[in-house]
Amino acid sequence: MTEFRCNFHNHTVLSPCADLTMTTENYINFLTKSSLDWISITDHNSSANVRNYKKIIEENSGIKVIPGIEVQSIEEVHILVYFEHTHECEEFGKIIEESLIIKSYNQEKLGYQILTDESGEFSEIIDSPYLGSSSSYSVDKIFSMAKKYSTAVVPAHIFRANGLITQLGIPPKINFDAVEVKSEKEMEKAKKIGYSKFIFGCDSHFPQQLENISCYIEADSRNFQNFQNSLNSEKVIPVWQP
Amino acid sequence: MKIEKIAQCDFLETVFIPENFDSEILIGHTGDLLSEVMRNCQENSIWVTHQSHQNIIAVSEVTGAKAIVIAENLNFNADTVESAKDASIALFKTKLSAFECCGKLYNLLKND
Repeated sequence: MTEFRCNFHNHTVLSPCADLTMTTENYINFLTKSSLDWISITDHNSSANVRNYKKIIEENSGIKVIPGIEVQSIEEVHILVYFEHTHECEEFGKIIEESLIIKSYNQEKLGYQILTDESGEFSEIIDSPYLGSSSSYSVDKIFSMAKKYSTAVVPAHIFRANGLITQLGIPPKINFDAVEVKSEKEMEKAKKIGYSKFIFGCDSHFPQQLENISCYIEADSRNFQNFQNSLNSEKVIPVWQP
Repeated sequence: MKIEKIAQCDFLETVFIPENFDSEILIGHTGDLLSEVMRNCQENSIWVTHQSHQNIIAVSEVTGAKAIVIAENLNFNADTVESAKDASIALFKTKLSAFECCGKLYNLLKND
């Protein structure tokens, strides 16, 4: 068994709120300085950069990347969906993009949404839809749609802005694979309302955050089954951020 | 104020009023963050929101809100309407913005 160092919540230049320096080059620069072993790419409401980032990171750093997406439901709840397969993440990402309720937006004010090519170069600016928008789908619907694929569905930062409990007040009756919390205090609070399976992410929007380890997973290898098993068996070990 | 009087308002469309509804509406609240509504909404409120998730019914039960208005011509989810029936919460919708709807309801309740 190996203890893998992980951070499963990271944005790229595609997310309008992420820094323009969240390039593949900076991912490699900061990730190779870190001791991370296993990460995920989770842009807002799109998975269009996942394939290229995953390939570049895995080839240049040896770090394994789980394809992911952070969906915003109609209730403005942020939900992380982790996929076993990149092509399924892309298919789901397209469905979410099509469902976004804000089509046009002010790029200068709200941030650019940039696609990268296979070599990590900027290839296109996406000016519609606005990826910071809500999907027209509810939390329940997003959960059931995501579960048609091999996925782990995890509400993000549940007590923070756009968190499940902030938005919905009371836990909905959905059997999530885990919930993401940001501190020990939040974990205790989450336990009191019935959650027992957790994940801990940095929600990196700036390159400096890419170095942070947010949790450990003990496994014999970094495959999706082991990731899911760790969530299910409540074995993800938190590293609390300052 | 009796729910019948509120239901008569021309800017409100009744989605559901429970049978034998005898609660008085005394005050109002507006908000979409249910954690905030849970903290601040008072008993016997009419609550104006954009949130259609089923949890608005549970939040109404917790806070003692008796009626919910969904603004901007939005619709309640089907399961929300079902839950409202179980919990005896009145539901209305309006074509108005939440701001305009609150203004009208405020005047209505203040002048009662």
